[in-house]
Amino acid sequence: MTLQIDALSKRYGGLAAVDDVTLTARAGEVTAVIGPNGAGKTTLINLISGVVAADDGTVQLHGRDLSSCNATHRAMAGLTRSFQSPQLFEGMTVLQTVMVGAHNRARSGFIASMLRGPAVIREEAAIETAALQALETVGVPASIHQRPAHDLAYGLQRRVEIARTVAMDAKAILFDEPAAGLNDQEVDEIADLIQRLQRRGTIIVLVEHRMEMVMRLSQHIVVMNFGTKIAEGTPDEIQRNPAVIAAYLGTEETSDA
Amino acid sequence: MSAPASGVSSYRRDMIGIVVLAAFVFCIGSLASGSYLKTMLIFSMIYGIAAIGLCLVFGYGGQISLCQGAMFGLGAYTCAALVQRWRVDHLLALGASIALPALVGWLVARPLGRLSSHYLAMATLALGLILSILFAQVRTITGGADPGVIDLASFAPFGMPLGTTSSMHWVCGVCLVVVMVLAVNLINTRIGRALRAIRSGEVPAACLGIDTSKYKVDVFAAASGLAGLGGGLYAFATRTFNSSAFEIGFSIDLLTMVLIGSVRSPWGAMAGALVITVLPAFLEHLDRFRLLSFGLLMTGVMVFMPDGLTSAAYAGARRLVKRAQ
Repeated sequence: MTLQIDALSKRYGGLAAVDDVTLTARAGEVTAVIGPNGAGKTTLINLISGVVAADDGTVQLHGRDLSSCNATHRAMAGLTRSFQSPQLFEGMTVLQTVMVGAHNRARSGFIASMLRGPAVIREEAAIETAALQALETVGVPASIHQRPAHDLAYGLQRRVEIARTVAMDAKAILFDEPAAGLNDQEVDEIADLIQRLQRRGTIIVLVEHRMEMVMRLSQHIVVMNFGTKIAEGTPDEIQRNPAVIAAYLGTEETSDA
Repeated sequence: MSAPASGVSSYRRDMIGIVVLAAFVFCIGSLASGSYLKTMLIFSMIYGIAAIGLCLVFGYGGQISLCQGAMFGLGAYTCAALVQRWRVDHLLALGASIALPALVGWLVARPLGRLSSHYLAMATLALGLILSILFAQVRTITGGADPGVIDLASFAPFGMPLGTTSSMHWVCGVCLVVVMVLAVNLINTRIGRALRAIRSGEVPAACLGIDTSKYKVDVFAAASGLAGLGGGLYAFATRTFNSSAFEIGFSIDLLTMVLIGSVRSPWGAMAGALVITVLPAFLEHLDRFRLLSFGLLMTGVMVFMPDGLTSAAYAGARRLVKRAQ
């Protein structure tokens, strides 16, 4: 049960935003991707999720090659992501937003939905049940289910976004800086939540700047700089790795320059 | 404690709306005798059907379409040609006036779906222009701008004469109610939510496994089909028309109806169609200030009620109820 990334590359003109990155994320583990600003972490998430097409390399989920799939089909296969700023849908309540996540639990098409037969009504009820369960899993209280999702505090918006991926029943979730813009208490809550998803056997890839969160959550860390992977290992190994320290703090030579 | 279901409250409100609409159509149909009033309402309902389609593709799918009027024309000519040249039964002709525009919409939607914002507007504008030029030039079928279609048989499905003004009121009323039920059903299901998600952001929608390009194609085809139904009914309601009726200005009129009424709701589209159809008649005695006052009114609505008339009316009614309590 793995998400296998092989030799993934993306060039923008002369700049190699992501250059030959290989990593394996296992179910039941949090795999963190860290690195200085501009190291290519978000581009990597874009490539894995299929939002941006890679120039080279493959993405496999549970042995199934998704390299030629677009973002929609990768998501249908169980590979999804969150965004740096929560991408909730305009004009939808919290519950409706999470119900969008459960979209593919139903099958009925455009015309069937217009006719709204008994099958559609049953499916709608199933979608709603899945959404309510997801909201309970991430701890969004029922009292705000009918509030417009955009009106919520930032931390709750993040939770709603995560609930949406839970409602999808995703096998792998790529988190793009889930702690950005949150206060310390909210960071702890999001970390607990990610841990809970990890224990359910979801594959988690975490791009994050908050080192205390990365070190607490992850079993496996990949360090990127200038688009390439410069180190990989357990949190302990990474903290002692001279290349990583150099990338973050600069070496004598570069700091003199 | 079980939380109130998400879609259910708005769906229930929509269903009450359907009952009110049906009751209104019924009352006008059986009580009112003025044929001028009924003619006005017939055209409001016909444009309302096309505007509901536009509301689905624009207000829900987020795709601006400037060829809805041309699809309406395609429906009208499909209907007229089948009835006049091939003596097809009128109900089948009406069915074809839905099917052909829907098919054309389905075929063009995939390349169109790669575009967004003003590029999409320009592409649909071009498609509308191409169709309206065809209407004017393929004279063997359409009759062009002069003489156009003349004296189409009055509506008589399976030989049942339903061509009088008051029968056409019933026919259009039933069609409008059915279309409204279909639209309300759609927007209160997963497909409706998917469309709103797509409008809000295609990338996050796709990352949830929503097939954005498929739904964009589907909703464009559905909107074209509804425009075609409006066109087919229009053909039977006027019985004489020419290609000038379906020029680009008409597509803009339909867009205005949706914008004035409320982009986010088929009820707004219907209300907008009523206002835009009926208002010019009230302004008639203003003579040469007619266009000016029309423009001022529209601008006023856009400035003071940016969410449209129906949203403003709904909010106003709620405020009144609150004050009364």
